Amino acid sequence: MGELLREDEALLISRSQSGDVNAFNQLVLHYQQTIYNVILRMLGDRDTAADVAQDTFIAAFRAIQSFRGGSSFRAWLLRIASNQACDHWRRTHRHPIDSLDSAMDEDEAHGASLLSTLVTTEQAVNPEEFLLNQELQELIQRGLQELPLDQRVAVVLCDVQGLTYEEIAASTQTSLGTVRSRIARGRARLRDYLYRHRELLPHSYRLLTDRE
Amino acid sequence: MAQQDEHLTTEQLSAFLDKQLSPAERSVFDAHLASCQQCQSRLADLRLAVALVHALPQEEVPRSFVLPSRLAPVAESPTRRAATVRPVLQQRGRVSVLQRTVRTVSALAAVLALIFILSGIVPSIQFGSGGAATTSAPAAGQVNRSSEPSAASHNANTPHVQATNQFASAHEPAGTKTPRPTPTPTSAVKAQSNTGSRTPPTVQPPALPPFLDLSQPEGRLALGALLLVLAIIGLLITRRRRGAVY
Repeated sequence: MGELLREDEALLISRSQSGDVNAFNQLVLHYQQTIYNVILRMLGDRDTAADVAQDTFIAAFRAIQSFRGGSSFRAWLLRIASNQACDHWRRTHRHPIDSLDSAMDEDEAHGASLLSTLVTTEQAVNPEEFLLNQELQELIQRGLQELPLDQRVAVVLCDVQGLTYEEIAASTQTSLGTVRSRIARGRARLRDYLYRHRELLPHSYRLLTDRE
Repeated sequence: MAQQDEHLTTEQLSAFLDKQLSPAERSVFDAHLASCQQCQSRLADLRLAVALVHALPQEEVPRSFVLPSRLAPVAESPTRRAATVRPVLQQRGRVSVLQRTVRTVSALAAVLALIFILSGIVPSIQFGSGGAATTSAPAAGQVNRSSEPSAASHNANTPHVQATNQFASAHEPAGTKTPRPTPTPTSAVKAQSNTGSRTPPTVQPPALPPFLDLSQPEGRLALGALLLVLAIIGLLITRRRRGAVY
């Protein structure tokens, strides 16, 4: 996926705004992996994610008149994608997960149950060294899906896609303070989730900790 | 000691991982973290959780999501909409100029409205200040003039009625000889002098509806209120439009 020059992107956007589907499709090709992965991490199902991603691009093409130049097209597209994903989630999950203890949101009480007891030296934790096996991927994915939608969007955009707080604020149309708070609460929930499922943490995890 | 009692919040720990702490927060953070084993562990936990999420692989798209160019039912409506929306977008500049004009005019109308209302409420302004007097005086003149031509034309069209006047009856032969050279203004002046001598000009205005009479406080109040309503409508419309554009 090559980088799209800013001027090229602006040109493609303006051509799309005058109804040029082919120009829009070049934007689709450039952004489809990002969009698909964000939706996949939010919803957890590949087929559903593909459908919602397709809906996202159709909705984006229909709404492209409302995109104002000068702002980030990626953030605009991600806003549509996360809205579509949230809508889909709400349609299919009328009843929010009750199994999650609401007390889990505030993690300060769990100070004693530290995940890092599984790791000898936290200094050695390097994200690039993680090679998650299928089981662990699924465990983390389920953890993401247990997050409230606003926190899930923030965590996926930040920790999966690596967006800046500013871009996340633009995508979710919230303030930087809200973004910071949502990311923190989402991460804390995830940490507690992982700790609760520490017995399910598969070999790769222990292997990694043993290696240190 | 006080710093050690207050553990770092999860939000501080999380923001630290993204280098989103302000310099002031950072110094407090560093001071506490250096001496607090518990917060160090919590930070390590959070970092691990973030690392695990970040380690989720980017998956390849199962298929391409490009829109079919011949996608008639889906693509047609956007293009048609695009065709109609585009000119509107191009007109946005003009619209904003129009909007600004409407706003300015509305603001001016509001100011005028306040002046009228004030001059209606405070009767002394009518006599004291020149502004109110000049606005009411020409208006009164207009009122007079608007009523006079009708009288003058009435006189010109019906010489017999003119003949009933004491002046006209005396000069009837001259009047019949030169009806053209005597223009309506002179006859109007005559009429004015006649009516002026007969009825004072202050009596004439009450014949008009009171809300149109600017020499009366009620008239100015009514006009002021009308202008104020127009100004508010103008401002509301432009404000609503501005919100919609955003």
